[in-house]
Amino acid sequence: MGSFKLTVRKEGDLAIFSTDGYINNLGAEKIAEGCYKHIETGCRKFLLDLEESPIINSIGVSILIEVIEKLQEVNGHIGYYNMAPIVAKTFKIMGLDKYSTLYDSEEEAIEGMKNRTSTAEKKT
Amino acid sequence: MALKPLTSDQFSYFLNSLDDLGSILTNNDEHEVVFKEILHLVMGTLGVSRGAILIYSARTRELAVTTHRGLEWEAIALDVPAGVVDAMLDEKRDVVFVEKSDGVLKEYFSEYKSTMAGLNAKVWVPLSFKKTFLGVLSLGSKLKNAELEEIDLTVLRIIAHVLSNALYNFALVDKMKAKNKALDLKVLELETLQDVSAAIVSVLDIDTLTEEVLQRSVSILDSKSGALMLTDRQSLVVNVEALSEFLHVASTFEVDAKDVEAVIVSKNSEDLALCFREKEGQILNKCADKRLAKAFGAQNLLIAPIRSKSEVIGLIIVGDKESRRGVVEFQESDLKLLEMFANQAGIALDNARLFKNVIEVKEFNESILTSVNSGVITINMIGEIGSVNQAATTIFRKHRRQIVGQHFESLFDKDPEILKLFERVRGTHHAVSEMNLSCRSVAKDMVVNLSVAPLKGPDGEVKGLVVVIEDISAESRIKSTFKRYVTSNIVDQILADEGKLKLGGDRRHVTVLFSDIRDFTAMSEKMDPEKVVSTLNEYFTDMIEIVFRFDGTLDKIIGDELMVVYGAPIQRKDDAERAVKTALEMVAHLKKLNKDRKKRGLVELAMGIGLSSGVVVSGNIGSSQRMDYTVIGDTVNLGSRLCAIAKPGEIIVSEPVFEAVKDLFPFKKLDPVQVKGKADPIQIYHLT
Repeated sequence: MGSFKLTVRKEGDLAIFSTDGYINNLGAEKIAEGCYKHIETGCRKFLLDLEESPIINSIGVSILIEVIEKLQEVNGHIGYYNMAPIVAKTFKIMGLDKYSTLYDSEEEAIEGMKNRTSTAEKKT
Repeated sequence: MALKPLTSDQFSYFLNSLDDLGSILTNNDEHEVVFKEILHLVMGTLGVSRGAILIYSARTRELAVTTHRGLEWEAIALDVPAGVVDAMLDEKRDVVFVEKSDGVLKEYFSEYKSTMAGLNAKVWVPLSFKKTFLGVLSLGSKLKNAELEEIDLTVLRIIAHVLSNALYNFALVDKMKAKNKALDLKVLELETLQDVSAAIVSVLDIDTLTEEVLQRSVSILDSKSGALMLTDRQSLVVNVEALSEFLHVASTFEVDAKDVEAVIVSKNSEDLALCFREKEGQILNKCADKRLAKAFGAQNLLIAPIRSKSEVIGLIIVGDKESRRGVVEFQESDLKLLEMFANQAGIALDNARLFKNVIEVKEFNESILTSVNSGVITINMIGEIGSVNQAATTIFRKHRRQIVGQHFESLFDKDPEILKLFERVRGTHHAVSEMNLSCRSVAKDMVVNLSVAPLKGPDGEVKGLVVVIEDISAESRIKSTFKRYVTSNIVDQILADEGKLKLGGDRRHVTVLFSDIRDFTAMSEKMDPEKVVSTLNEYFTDMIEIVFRFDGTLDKIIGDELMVVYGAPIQRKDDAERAVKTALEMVAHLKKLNKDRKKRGLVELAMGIGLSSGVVVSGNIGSSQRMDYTVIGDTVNLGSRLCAIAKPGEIIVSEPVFEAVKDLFPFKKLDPVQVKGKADPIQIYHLT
């Protein structure tokens, strides 16, 4: 496993981040940085494709929690798919599934996020 | 001091403020939101335009602004000496007027004069709970610099009390959250341990297992890198003592295997050797071995030995524990955790190695069984077939799954003779072998050789039967086909070297022998049919015995005529010689036979023989209902003609026969004769 790589693509109002590598301090910081940049441009819906990241540590988890909190402040949401079983298990144990969504497949994830209406949108 | 009576509006306003305070506290908002709203409430209720809430950290002994209003504040922290904390906890100082303060507080405010000015602090209300200093509510002047009245101070005390409780609760909640997170991490550790334990029974591939164990170790210890190394028991290390320290990299994470191996294999690291000697893990914070640290790209390393029973069979090394503040040192608790993983890994690797060995032995045994042509079947104690090799499935013309699990009686249901053999071995535990057994359960014409032996376990205990079965049907068919024509010796030769056997149409050089009994037709007309048959049987029995003695192929018997071929189906260099010897022996034997017949009062027989050599076509000739191995061609016809020419007791041979054996036997050249089917007369010879 080499250095962490992050690629981003947009599908409508949805930003999909594909990660490649260990989600530790370095990897998670890159994810957070990417999310914050998109939040500034008004993006509120994020998906993480974690297929190439079969391993995460607790620092990575805590940074993702920060991203989730940041998104809650702006009525945004984040979801994940293609997770290794151990990553999904870690997310559940650390409670990430309460404030973000774990999807079983990319199709389900994109569909689920597209149909999601942010609190701000609901109010308007 | 008596409180100034409140107007009803003032009273209502204060009550509304207290009601709002209740709502703020029960809204379940984030801490910062609650602090901000309480600050706004206080300031709004008292008519203060500038204020802040400062939270005290017992760890850093600092006060830091968590929320403020009306200030151009640059976040700086205020150190709080113990004396100031004690002064703040003095119940008499529930509201501190900054400019009127005395003692340590006066000194303190004086020291932080500019900070207090930045805060525009006129009043500090210490926030505490059960003698624990929590922070300060700092307020500026009332509008138009009006003095705070007693009623304001009362409201302020009430709100400060509520704010203190809220702060304490928040601190408790934060502590609980931290504890919960720690608990979650512990759960994660336990779950990971459980996963690794589960992998012990589910993952039996060593490579997958080492990768799994290493990744889990790196992840759960928040490490940046790691490697798992195993001793190489298979390597040809002459020095046995060094064997336990000879490592190879089995799996790596975020490090280059070559870099790690360069350090490990060179065995320069005393730290690694220590793990083998002491059989204990090590914490190498600020690792002194620069090569080791460089290989892992880490300043702190954690090493745990992987043990198998009492022997160290490898090491797990992880590098640099991460935190949000950067790399932190490994603790004893980290080492204990890694050692737990290493222990699990030891058991798992032992299992995987054992499994690998078992598989290798099994594959070796299977390859032996697959490579043998005989079918091998094992039968358990209750008579069920446990295993079959490839050859057995071919013999039984069934798929493996159609055989395994069946009772042996169903496999040999039409062969009571074979079943009896099985029962005999089951009863006596002595091996038996039988040859040429009919195996009708598979096919009507199947013939097998069968060996049945007791199947014994390592302790010698009988576990069932092992059956070796050899399908000899083809061989049997060939024998039955050829035994009418050739001796069993020839059949065996044919079967031993099938390359010599060409049963399809084939041109070959042969010598053909024809014999017949002179005037037998006329003779037989005067004899009883029984006598005719007994005469012919006596004659042919002796003559065919002679033919077979010289390895001739009996082609056919037509009435009293005998046709024998030398050179088919197996060609030999002395075909012509054996044909001539056969003819001489037949003539000599007939003389003996006639003497005997004369004694018995029977009519004497006269025989003529013709021999020819040349190319014929050989093969199984006939229809699908009836097919015989024979030869056809001019050579055959000529042999028959020469036989007809031969006088009683005479042996006539063609030119090619003469040429082949002229140095071995005496011949007399006869006048050329005209034979049917030949334009020119042909030269013939008489064997004298």
